[in-house]
Amino acid sequence: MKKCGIYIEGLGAERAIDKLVNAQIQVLAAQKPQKNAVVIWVDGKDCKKVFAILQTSCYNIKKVRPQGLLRLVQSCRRSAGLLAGILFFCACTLFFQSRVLAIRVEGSGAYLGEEVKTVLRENGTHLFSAFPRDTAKLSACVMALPRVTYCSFSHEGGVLTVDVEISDENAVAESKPLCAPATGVVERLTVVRGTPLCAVGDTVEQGAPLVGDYAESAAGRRQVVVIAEVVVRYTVRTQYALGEEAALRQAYLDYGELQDIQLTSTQEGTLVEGFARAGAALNLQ
Amino acid sequence: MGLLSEIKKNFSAEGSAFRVQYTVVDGGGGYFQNVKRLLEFSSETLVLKGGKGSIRIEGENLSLGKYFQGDLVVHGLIKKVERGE
Repeated sequence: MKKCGIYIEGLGAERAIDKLVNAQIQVLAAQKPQKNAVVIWVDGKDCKKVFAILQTSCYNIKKVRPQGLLRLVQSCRRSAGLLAGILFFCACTLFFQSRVLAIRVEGSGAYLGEEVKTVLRENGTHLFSAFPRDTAKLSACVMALPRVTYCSFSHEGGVLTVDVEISDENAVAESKPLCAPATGVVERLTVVRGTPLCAVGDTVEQGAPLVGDYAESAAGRRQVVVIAEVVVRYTVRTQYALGEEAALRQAYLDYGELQDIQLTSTQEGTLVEGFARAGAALNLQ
Repeated sequence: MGLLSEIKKNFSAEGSAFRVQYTVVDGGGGYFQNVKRLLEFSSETLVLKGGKGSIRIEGENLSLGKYFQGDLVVHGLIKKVERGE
């Protein structure tokens, strides 16, 4: 039952109580705060009836409303369920914000995602666990993975992001000479490390070493890791049992870019002649 | 027959059915029946009128509780209840 407070002011204000009771209005409570005034409480649904009944009487009537903080308290009591729901939602949000809801591995070492997650799991960090406090120890464990040179952790919105960077500087590269990819003429030769065994314009055989994996110095010869690139131009002469257009298409597929193309129709099909390029590199992108 | 004689007894016993009847709790408030009107109301004094006679209540911090269809609850400390004509 929602109570409604009404302040009645006037001479003989207490007679208003009798008037209401006689009109079958149940008075729930009444007080006399001052000489010519009473405060009564009736059921909320009878509030309008009170005003209607006392309309013709010489009273000043007004609804009693709580003021200030008390009004706020009353409103909160009316919406207790809603407030409880809001508090529960806020508590859940705050709680889960400190939890790991997803793990993301980024950076050039992202392909090590499974290994990184294994490392995290072994150190007690997994879905719905707390954000790891000792990230230094975790970083050390992740950096122990092959080729990893940098690792950092960040936590935002429940997502644990692991930034992993790799580097090949410390990687042990295989030491072997750079060989010719095809039989032809050397068109381009770039040597960063190693000993060049041919020059641009030289004719080379396929598989022949073009850059040696050693370096000569006053102290003698020492083994080095070859860092070089070579492009060899070679002749293409292939017979296709296809029409000209199809033969040309197939030739592009087989040899890549072709130059000085000549197509000759033969009894067997089409003869494609021209020049193609083959490249090879070691430790050089 | 028994009921009729009881009714007759009630009506004939100084018109008690029309008087204000009450139950007062020592050191507390009270419950009043057959109240027709509220003649006087203040935090120290209450005067209730029944069908026959009236009741004067004196006390401290007096206030009304439920008042409906002749039944009235009085809150506060009732010190004295006096019947009047």
